[in-house]
This record gives sequence, structure tokens and C-alpha cells, in this order.
Amino acid sequence: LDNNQRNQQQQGFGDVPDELPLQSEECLVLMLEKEFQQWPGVNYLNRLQSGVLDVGARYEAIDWIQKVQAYFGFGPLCAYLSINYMDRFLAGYELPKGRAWTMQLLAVACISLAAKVEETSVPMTLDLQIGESKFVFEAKTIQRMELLVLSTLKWRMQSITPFSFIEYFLSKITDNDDKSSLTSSIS
Amino acid sequence: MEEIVHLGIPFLTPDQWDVITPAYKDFELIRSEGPRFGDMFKCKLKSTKEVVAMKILTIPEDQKSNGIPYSILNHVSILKTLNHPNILKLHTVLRTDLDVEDVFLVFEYIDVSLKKFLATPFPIDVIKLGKPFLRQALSGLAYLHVQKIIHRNLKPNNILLSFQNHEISKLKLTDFGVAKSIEPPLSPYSINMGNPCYKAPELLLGFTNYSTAVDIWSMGCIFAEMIKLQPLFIGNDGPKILTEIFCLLGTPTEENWPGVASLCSFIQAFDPPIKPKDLAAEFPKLEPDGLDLLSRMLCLCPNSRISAVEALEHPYLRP
Repeated sequence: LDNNQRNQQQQGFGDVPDELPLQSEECLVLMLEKEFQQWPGVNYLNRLQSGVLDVGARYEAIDWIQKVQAYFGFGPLCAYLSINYMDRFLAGYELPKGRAWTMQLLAVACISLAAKVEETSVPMTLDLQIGESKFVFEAKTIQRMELLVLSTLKWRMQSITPFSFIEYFLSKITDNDDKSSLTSSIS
Repeated sequence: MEEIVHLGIPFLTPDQWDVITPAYKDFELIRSEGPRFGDMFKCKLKSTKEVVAMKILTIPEDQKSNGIPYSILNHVSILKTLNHPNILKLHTVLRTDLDVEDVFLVFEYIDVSLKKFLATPFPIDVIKLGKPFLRQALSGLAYLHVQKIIHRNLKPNNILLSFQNHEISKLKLTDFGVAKSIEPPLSPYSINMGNPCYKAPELLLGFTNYSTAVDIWSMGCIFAEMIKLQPLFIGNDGPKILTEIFCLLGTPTEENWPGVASLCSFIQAFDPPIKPKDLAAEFPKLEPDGLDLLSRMLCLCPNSRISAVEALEHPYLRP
């Protein structure tokens, strides 16, 4: 039993095989695996479509995230990550029903985390709450929500995004071996 | 940060004590890394008696109003993406009550760091163990680098080893506190982290668009240190280290590092330029293939420096 538990644990923590990926093809496989692991899943899509989860509230939150992104001049990856965190959270955690502020708090926590992961200059969490949001949260509340998001997503915040694949595809369409010049030319 | 061995019982706040004592016992401080990176201590899981290493990351007082700080977020989320035999494994992040602000990391436990081994009266026999050492260390680095992660703080303190029958049975890279995941679009990176002795010349010269080659440089310095039994470049600050580097490897020129003179005009002040020393005379114990690999790892120009994947294919490391 002990061993069994250990294995399950290992699977819980472990995500990628131990082999050393050397080729870009292997690296691609690794990225695809990771992308799959962080996919919210069909079940989540069904719950959105069938109305178990509130699609409208999700769109509202996304709309607000994009406003914050534009206001502070965050990059597209930051908005992408925020939405990725939000979907993964909603897939794994049931927010209390009928309380609109929970979605707003989740959106604040997600963009706050994404900005910290992705942006070089990040405003205070309190100042992220721009626009006419109906709810404004205290710093302490946002921090607790951040922690809840982090533990629900098992701290896997380095998400694989479409941006992760850019370099691979660029290397496919050119014969140029000098990857450094490629990456710098798209920066 | 100096490694202090047998530091006794770690200092824990009552809150921290409440979180970990239900499941863990026998606490013993093993590495003191200062308040920013957290101390590491050894302890035993009560249920299975398994020995693990624990690190507590604390939110600095001045950042408490701003949620989970970037340093902790980055540190833990990078660790979560890693799974390789040559990288210290993060078993789990303890789930805590939301009122607890600290983050508790539980790692596998490995005996001691390279730094401690180098300080013993019977240090590693590098002629015999240099190859397996580099092979394992570079495997870990290659794994990081294909995932576009730069460690940025490699030093003997951050390489953990365990031995069996005088052979290296395990080698693990650790401390990802200042590691960086590179993802385009690229923005300038900080050049202020890490110990200056192991810092690559491009960092010391202030280039902010550096890449994974900085880790190869550090590993070259560490390998050289295993042979010399003292750091290859000694000094307290960047300029001193840079001078040491130039004294050994010569001043960079437009030929061997295109663009360096235009970006760092002070290099022209070395007139005449310093000539590189003969590495074979500096490392008489090292075989020619080893010297060749070392010189490629310590190549001044980052774009010409050997990569971890290429180094693993080098004749010196071929089985």
C-alpha cells in the first residue's frame, strides 16, 4: 500500500518523464504534454455550455482583465495567462454560487499573479482594481485569493501558451541555426 | 552566503511550528541562505520516517501589502516544472491555512554540497570523478536549458552530492531562487544576482540580453575550482573578477567576441591587450580533452561558448 501511495504521490508531483530531451522534437513533445496537463478539460467546457458555470460572468471577468491589460500596457501573454489561471481554477474549485464578487476577486487575483509572473514593472495589487468595478477588495483579501489560486493550480504558473511554440515554428520555417537572432527579432 | 554545518535547531515562529510539527519531526538546520532565500533544514516525515529537506519562504515585511511576491512565485513555479535526476526534487508545497503567509517547500534530502566536499581534507579526486561529475551536472543543465530556464546562481554551494563506494551516486542542482524562465518577447534581465566569482563576463560587463551560456561559464568555474581546490577567480566585486578573468583568458577582441569593443569601450583601454595564459600550464593535472572542454566552457564570447548539450557530446565526456 505504501508503495502504491508513493506512486500516486509521484504521479501527483511528477509531470514529465525523467529522460533528457535533447532534440527540439523532444522538447516539443514535452511542451505538448505539459499543455495537456494544464488543460481545464472537457468537463469544464460542458459545465460552461450547460450553464452549470456562469458563462456571462466569465466573459465579464475576461473583459475586465483585458481592460486592466490595456490600462497598464501589459503584454498579450499576461492577459493570456490570467485567463488560463482563471479557467484552470474554475475547473478545479467551486466558487460559492450567487455571489458575483467572487468572480471579480478571482479575476483580480489572476491578473495580479500573471502580471507578477510576466511583467517587469507591476503596480500594487490594490491599484490593479481600475474601472468601475462594483467591488473593491483589500490587499489582504487579494493575497488570500492569490494563495488559494496558487494551491488549487498546484503552483504550476509557468503555463505553456501559444507563445511557447513560436520559436519551434520559426525554426521549422527557416534553415537558420542561429536561434538567438530569431528570438531577438520577434521580441 | 556561507554554509554553516550543524547549526542546530532552526528558528521557527510559533505559526510555522504549528504548520509543520503535526507531520514532521527531528528538525536540524543544514543550510543558512539568509532571510531572502530561506534556511533549509532537514526533518523526518512522521508517517514514513522519510528524511526530507524543508525550506520556508517568508513574505518580506515590506511586501506584505502586495500579495505573494514575484520572487516566491517565480521560485516555486519554476521548481514545479522540473523533474530530472540531476535536479533536487521538490516533493510538495505544503497546503496551509490561508492565514499562514509563509510557503513551505518539501524537497528530497541529499547529504552535502560540493562546497563542503571541497573544504574537507580529502577532497574529490577530480581526475577520477571529474567526468561523472560534469556529465551529471551538464545533464541537469541541458534539461534546464532546453526548457529555456537559466539557473543564474550556480556555485559549489548549490550542487549537492552523495557518494557510494567513492563514486558520485547522486548529483543534484539546487536553489532556483533567482532562476529565470526565458520566453519571448524578451525584456532586459537583471544582472545583479549571483556570486561574482562565478559570474560570466557578459554579466560583469553589464549585458542584459544574456542567455543560458551564463550557467555554462559558472559550471566551467566550478570544474576548475574542483581541480585547483580554490575558486578560479577570486574577488569581492565585478571589476576585480573581470580583471582576474582577463588576466587568465586575455582581453576580448573584436575577432573572438564581435561587438564587445563597441559596447564596452573601456576594453580598448587595455593597450596592449592582455594575452591569454596557457591553460595547460595552469591545470597540469588535466588531460588534453579536459582542457579543451574547460576552455570551451570558459569561452569569453557567450555566443561561441559551448552549450550543455554540445558539452555532453565532447570527447572528454564520451563514455
